Amino acid sequence: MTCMKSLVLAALLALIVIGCDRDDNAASSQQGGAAATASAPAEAVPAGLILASAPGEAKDVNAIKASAKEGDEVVLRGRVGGSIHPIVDGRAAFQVVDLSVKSCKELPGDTCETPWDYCCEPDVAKSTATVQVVGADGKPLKTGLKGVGGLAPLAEVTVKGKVGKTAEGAPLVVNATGIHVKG
Amino acid sequence: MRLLPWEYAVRNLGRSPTRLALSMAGGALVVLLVLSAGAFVRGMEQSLRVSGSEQNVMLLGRGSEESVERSEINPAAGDLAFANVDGIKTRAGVPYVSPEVHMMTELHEQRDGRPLGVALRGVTGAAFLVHGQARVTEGRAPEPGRDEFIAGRMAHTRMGVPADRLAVGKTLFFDGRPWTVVGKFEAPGTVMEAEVWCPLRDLQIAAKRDNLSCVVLTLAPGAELADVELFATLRSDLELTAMRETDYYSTLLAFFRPVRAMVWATALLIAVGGLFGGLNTMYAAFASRVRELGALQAMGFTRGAVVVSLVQESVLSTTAGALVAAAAGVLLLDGLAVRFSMGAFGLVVDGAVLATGLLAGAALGVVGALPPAWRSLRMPITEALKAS
Repeated sequence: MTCMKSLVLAALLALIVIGCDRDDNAASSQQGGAAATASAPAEAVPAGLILASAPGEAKDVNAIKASAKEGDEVVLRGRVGGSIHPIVDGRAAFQVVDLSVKSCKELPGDTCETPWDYCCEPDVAKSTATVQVVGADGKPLKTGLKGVGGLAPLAEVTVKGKVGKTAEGAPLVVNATGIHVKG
Repeated sequence: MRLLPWEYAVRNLGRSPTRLALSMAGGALVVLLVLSAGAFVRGMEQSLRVSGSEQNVMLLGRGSEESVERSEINPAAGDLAFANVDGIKTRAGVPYVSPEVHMMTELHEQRDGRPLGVALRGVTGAAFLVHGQARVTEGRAPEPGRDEFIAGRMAHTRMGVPADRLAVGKTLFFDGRPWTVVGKFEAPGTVMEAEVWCPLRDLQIAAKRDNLSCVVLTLAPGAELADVELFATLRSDLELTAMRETDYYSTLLAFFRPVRAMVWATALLIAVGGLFGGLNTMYAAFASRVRELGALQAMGFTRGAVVVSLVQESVLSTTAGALVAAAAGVLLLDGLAVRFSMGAFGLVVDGAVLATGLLAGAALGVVGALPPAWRSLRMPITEALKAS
């Protein structure tokens, strides 16, 4: 009986060792593949970025795209959207769509869970602009803008800023100095 | 409560070797089934989890975040990303940017032969930089313009052919002409191992497309996904979505959750069937010992103590069977290739699976003994002592 007990315990121990060895190998191979991509500390949003009232003489996205060129001071009006994640996580940038383009929410009977992606509008990219808040180096600040001043998908915004460098074929880029979110 | 000696339970196991063997065999079968289900689920989870790298970011077509095969992106996306995103890893000036085309298609053994389903990936040399898990083990990487493949170690499982059918030098037909297998690669535990790779341009010509399915790029240490997402936003004309490779495969894992649930449900149903069979055996075993159990109670042992001893017997026999099943699982199931829609993966019998199996065996012993034990002890002592 003692022999049987010993046999059973030995078999159990062997299986535990085999199983744990397999677990250790799997865990270490996963850890070996992981990289240190920790986020850099967030930068502060400039004071005065969020405006209490909308700047005057605002124009729609399409109107500005038609006439503005790099360096022009503009006041742009639009709605946050154009993709599933129109407000970039961790960077001070977001997309706006011309108000004339209907989001999925405005279509009767649509039950889209992410109406701000404008998936119902195949040419939405042609009516989209990108707004970014840049630092002294000309690159977007390393901070997200979601929730800042009420900024959220489908929020109507008026942005004051300067037209930035835009690659050929790419949407208009506006470097914002003031943003008003319609409450 | 004074319990019966442990030796009493052990000695009783030997009273009917046939019954003991049947109990062990029943327990072993149920535990082997539980191990199979666990190994299947674990293998699938590990395959999809290990397939992605935390350092890699995929640029996919907007709306195709759940299926790279459906994704179509601009062929210049990779070059534009490298030019505009800070922090993409390079080595000796070579960027870790892999433009790829993914297709579920068919190869043929002969020109008009049986179609073989395959996951085909068109790649450049950068694929072996970006997908660090992939390593050429035999032959060489395929060269453009020469109709050549390199096959993953488990590609034959996905295709349903013997391993030697994809040996180096063998020929398969694709796009109406023969292509030669010039190498084999391994990518342990990943879905890539069930794929066949060929030069990107050759696949694009064969598939009559000039766009890509995705671009996979590797971030240097300290670089952030947010910069790639920013690029995708600034170039919304390219209609790109940026996501970590691990997040992409997590999405696929969620997609297969119903399959995993179904596997466990099937295992549970069959285990319950096995349990009822065990109950039957135990009823018969304990019913023949009513007088003995009455004598034990007459000697002063409580019903509870007798039940504990009977449960010990049952747990011993089923756990012994569970150990046999666990050994069989480790020897026979671990690493066994299984084909599924995305490719193939190996069953995984690790600590968690073994623990689940052993616990299932122990639980079977407890649950299988309690009702028969209690039923056998219902009779008053005087009646039990007179039983035949």
